[in-house]
Amino acid sequence: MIENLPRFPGAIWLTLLIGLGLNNVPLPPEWSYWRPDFVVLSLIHWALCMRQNVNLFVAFFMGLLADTISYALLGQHALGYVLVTYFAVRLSLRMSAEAFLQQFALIFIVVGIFMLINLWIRGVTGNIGPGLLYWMPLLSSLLVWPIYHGILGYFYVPRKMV
Amino acid sequence: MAVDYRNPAATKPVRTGFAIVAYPLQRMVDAPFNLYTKVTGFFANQTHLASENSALKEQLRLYSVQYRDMQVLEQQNARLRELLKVDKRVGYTFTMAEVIAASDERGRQVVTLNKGSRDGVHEKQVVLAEGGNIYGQVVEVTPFSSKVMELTDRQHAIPVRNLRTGMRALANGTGKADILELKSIVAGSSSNVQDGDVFVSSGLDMLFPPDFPVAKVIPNGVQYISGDPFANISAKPMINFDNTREVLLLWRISPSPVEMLPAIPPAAPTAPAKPADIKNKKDEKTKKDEKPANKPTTASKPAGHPQ
Repeated sequence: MIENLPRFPGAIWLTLLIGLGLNNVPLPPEWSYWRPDFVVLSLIHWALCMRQNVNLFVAFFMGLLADTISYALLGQHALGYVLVTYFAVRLSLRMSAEAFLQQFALIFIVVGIFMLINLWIRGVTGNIGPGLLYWMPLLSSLLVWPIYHGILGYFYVPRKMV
Repeated sequence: MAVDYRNPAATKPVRTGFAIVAYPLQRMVDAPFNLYTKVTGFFANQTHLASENSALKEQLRLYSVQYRDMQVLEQQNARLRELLKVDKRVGYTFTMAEVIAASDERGRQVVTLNKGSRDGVHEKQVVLAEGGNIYGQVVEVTPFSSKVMELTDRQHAIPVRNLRTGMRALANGTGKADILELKSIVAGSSSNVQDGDVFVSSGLDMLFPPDFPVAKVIPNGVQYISGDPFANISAKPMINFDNTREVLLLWRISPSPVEMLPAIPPAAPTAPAKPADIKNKKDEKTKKDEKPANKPTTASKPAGHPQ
């Protein structure tokens, strides 16, 4: 079994904050349709690599922070992030962390759930986005994942345990 | 979530708390862009700067003269209002603020400013952009920052007036940065809206100052659907919301009589002049001998009178 450790204390927090920062880098509107949610990707990354250290409360806190920044309904992202973490941790047990195709399937499912929940909440509050363009981050998440996963690889130390 | 949707006031402290936590992060994200503008400003062409400077100076001179004229008008207006027993005109003061972040949420057009309650920003404050066009209103304030909802936000509406016909309407945001929607306009001859019509704020909401430009109807922006009694009108806001980086915060000041006094001195002789004027005329009629003696005092009056 592989037991990974964070490279330094607070590494998870740092990556989540970086993800939140990337989420809020100003982009022209036609580009921002393609922006994946980097916090979701970070949460999936940690669920895959260190599922013992992933904390649902941290995910919830980051979600509230994201809600405040984007002035969304308070709890919209929080619920999404908590569910993302939960499902990613559950599903990560069924696969090996090295197989890319399996990772893609996992991301597709988890990010899909996240976006679906966001869409429902928006539908309920009467804030419906633009048609199919809404689902573009699902694709771009898959495209960005190998790079982002590679970069985040710096933040933990792989360790083999018997 | 349900609480936040039904009663946003209840979750306000949570929002404010998180907004304070998020502010350093937003500043950090904004820092590279800020640095870029600073660096490009530092390396700007000297001759370009000089010509710009001279042009600005010229403009300033022009504006200062116009401002003087404006002051005279303001005093005149205040006096006339007093005579007519109308409420005093509301004045405004402004402060510049910088946009440091914009919301990425779909349908949301909310930006964060770098001024907060420390700088006197309060909720429901009106925000203007360059050229005096209405930008939006403040919806959330923390000590260091504030969130401004733009006119184009899906949940925003502003009462407007057609500059050409005087017809009133509501301009709703669409969630897109370049389209405002005007609803409940009865299709008919009495309220015809044409392409290129300009809508200004009507001030009926007691929030936005009246007669500030809001939007202009786009070509083919007026559409009638058969069977629908209302016309669908699309208008383009006067501001490019995506490019605006500096905005003006607006404070309402109702001028008190104490504030008015120091501005009056040049016009001061005119106030008592009126009764004296009448008196003098009577004097002129009754005592024609003293006419030359009165002349210096009366001569000074016409000079002050136009004010």
